Parts: sequence; structure tokens; C-alpha cells
Amino acid sequence: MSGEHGHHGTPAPFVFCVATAIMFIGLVMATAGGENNEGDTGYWFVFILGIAGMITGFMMWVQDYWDQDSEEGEEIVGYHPFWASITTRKFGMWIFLLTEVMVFSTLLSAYMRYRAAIPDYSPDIDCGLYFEECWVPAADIIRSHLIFGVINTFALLLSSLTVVLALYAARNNNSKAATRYLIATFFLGTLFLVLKAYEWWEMKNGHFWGDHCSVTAGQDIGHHCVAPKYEHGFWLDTSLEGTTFYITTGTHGAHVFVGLLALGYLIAKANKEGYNEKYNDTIELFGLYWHYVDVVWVFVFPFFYLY
Amino acid sequence: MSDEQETGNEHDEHHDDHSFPAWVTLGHTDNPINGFMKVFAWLVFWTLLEVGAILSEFSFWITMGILFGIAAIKCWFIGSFFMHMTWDPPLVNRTAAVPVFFLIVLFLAIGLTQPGAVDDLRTICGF
Repeated sequence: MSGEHGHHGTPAPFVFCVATAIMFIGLVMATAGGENNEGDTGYWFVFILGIAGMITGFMMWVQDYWDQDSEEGEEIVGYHPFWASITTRKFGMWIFLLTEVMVFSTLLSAYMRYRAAIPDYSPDIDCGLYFEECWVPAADIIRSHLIFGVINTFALLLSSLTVVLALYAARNNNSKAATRYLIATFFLGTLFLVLKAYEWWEMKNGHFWGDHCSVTAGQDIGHHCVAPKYEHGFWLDTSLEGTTFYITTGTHGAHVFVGLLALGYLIAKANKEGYNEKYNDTIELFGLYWHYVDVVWVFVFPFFYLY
Repeated sequence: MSDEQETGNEHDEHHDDHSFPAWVTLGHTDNPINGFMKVFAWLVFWTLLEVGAILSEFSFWITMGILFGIAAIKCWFIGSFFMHMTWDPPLVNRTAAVPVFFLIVLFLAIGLTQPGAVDDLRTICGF
């Protein structure tokens, strides 16, 4: 069996990456209004072309690996112990995670830079009529509904556990349990995105604070009150606080969404008993990505939801 | 990897002898599943501690220390056990350590400084 469906090269990752680049070029140029900023909408076609290419690359990838059931002979070939006992796919996944570390590091450090430079609001500081001179963090808006962030945190932590349990179930030749744990992971990830979408909606429309209280410059902001600059809602273009919050949590949410797409493939293959004690590396590799998403949330939650 | 290539490294990625430190499991456990459950319990504990700590309003730097510290601890738990770094070959740990330098630069030299502060790397390093 392993000889019939062993690993072979595939152009799918290359196709997917080229299509992703085309998609981003189209998106950036279209939203910028074309080369002359005059609203050239032709780049939306480029964006759609990129999306189609990404879907094609993904389907090629799935088709190439659907029947794979062996990692035999896939260790990095080398004559020094430094390279021993690790497959090329695993090493490649770690390299990919390193690039992801840089993505979120830039977002978090930019946010920290703003927090360090702009004073938090205080009754002792002249924050301006609309509190525009002070930093009114998203955490103050969320605090009255912090339970959603806490639920999201536990959901991701629990989903990391279920992914590990799925891996060990596969290693013990228990396909049913592996499938169930993967489905549980999918449910928890979906719960995370649903709650996040709800939070976003409520914050954008100013529903996390009551209408009965507002503050003016020099007053303290108590619970359920809102700074004047957020009277019409808290969104991307409201202030720096909104921009940093939504870009960072949105990027993280996009990573969770991509993880759910990959989970769909894993669930389908696990359901057809595609993972067993001899072949379960794909679950481990996905687990690495999912745990990384969890690690990012470990930093995002305290810095955006608590402080 | 062919049989002729003797690397001298006898580590087997799929070896299920995943032993956990005694302080993590609060006692010896032979079952890796129980070990992972206890790691999850530790993560829940640190999360509750984090939420409880932030409700006490400390100064900016103490708050940063608490948040960074607990986040780093949780990151260590997830990386070491869920991501199997404890049991993986040294190559994995060395690869994962690569961005640490950049993280230090990003957070200490940029994230925690203010506009107008010294941001020249040579000056920061004392040259």
C-alpha cells in the first residue's frame, strides 16, 4: 500500500502561492484605485483571478494528497545528525510558521509603539473634547462584555487539546475518535469566529455601551460609558485604537478561517480512515499551524482585550 | 533516508514515549493523554491568573511584565508539549529560535519605545 501511494512531487503549493500573490496584487491595486488612484476597477478582475487560482491550487493539493498514506523515505537526506529524523514537510511547516511569527510580531510591536507613545485617558490629563489626544483602548469597550473574549480563549485552548487528542487517536488506529476530535476542533474554531463576528458587529454599532451615559473631557469613563470619539461606534476608521484592534484581530481571525478550511479536508480524510498509526503526519502538521494560531491569541487576548 | 546513512541520531519522531516533567503532571503518568490534559489544566490556570491580575490596576511597566510573563509561560506550555518541541529533534528547537532575535528587536527597540526616542540599533547596542 505504501508503495502505491507514496509521496510524490506536486506543483500545487507553487500554483497556490502564485495565485495568492496575484490575488493580493489585485486587491491592493483595486482598493488603491489603480495606478493613478482614479478608481480603475480592472484590478478587481485580477483579484478574482487570484481567488480562482487559489481555489484551483487548493483542489490540486487535496487531490494529490487524498490517497497518500505513507511518509516513508521523506526524511531530509543528510549526512550530519543536525538534519536527522525530521521530514521535509515538517521542516517546511516550521519555516512557514517562522514567517507567520514575523507577521504578527510587526502588528503587535506597532500596537505597542502607539500605546507607549500616546497616554491612556485619565481625569488628570487633558484628552481633548473628544478624547482624541488620549488612547481609549478597545479593552475598555470590551470590558463590559469580556466574557466573549474569555470564552474565545478557552475555545482555542481546548481546540489545541482536541487536535493533539486527534493525533494520538490516529496513532492508535482509532479513526472514529480521530474524526470526532477533529470535528470538535472545527466546532470550537467556528465558535471562536462566530463570537468574534458578534463582538465586531456590536462594537461597530456601539452596542457594547449604553445610550444613557456619555462623558466630556476631564471626566472619567466608567463602565458602560463611552468616550465621545466612540459615540457613533468603534470601527476601523474611527481611530488608531480601532485600526490596530481590527487589523490585528482580523488577521488572526483570517488565520483561524484558513485553519477551518484545512480542517474540512482532514475531517473528510479521517472519516474515510485515511489516518492510522503509519500515516498521521498531516494531522501533526496541521496541529503545528493550529497551535501557532493559539499562541498568537495568547498574546492578542491580554494586549487587546485586557489592557 | 536509506539504511546506509547512519546519522547516529536514534531519535524517532513517532516514538510514543512522551514523558512529561513530574511538576507538570503533579506526579508520574504513563499515559500521554493524561499528560496533555494536565497541560491544558495549566493553561486554564494561567489564563484565569492573567484575567485576575489585570483587574488589579498596576502601573504600565508592571502590567507589561505580567502580561508578557504569563503569555510567555503559556506559549512555552503550548510549544513544548502541544507542538512536541520537548520530544522533537534539536533541529526543530533551533529553527523555532531563529525569530527570537527579531522579536527582541521589534518589541524592545520599537514596540516599547516612543517616537523621538533613540531607534538607531548601533546606539541602542552601545556602540
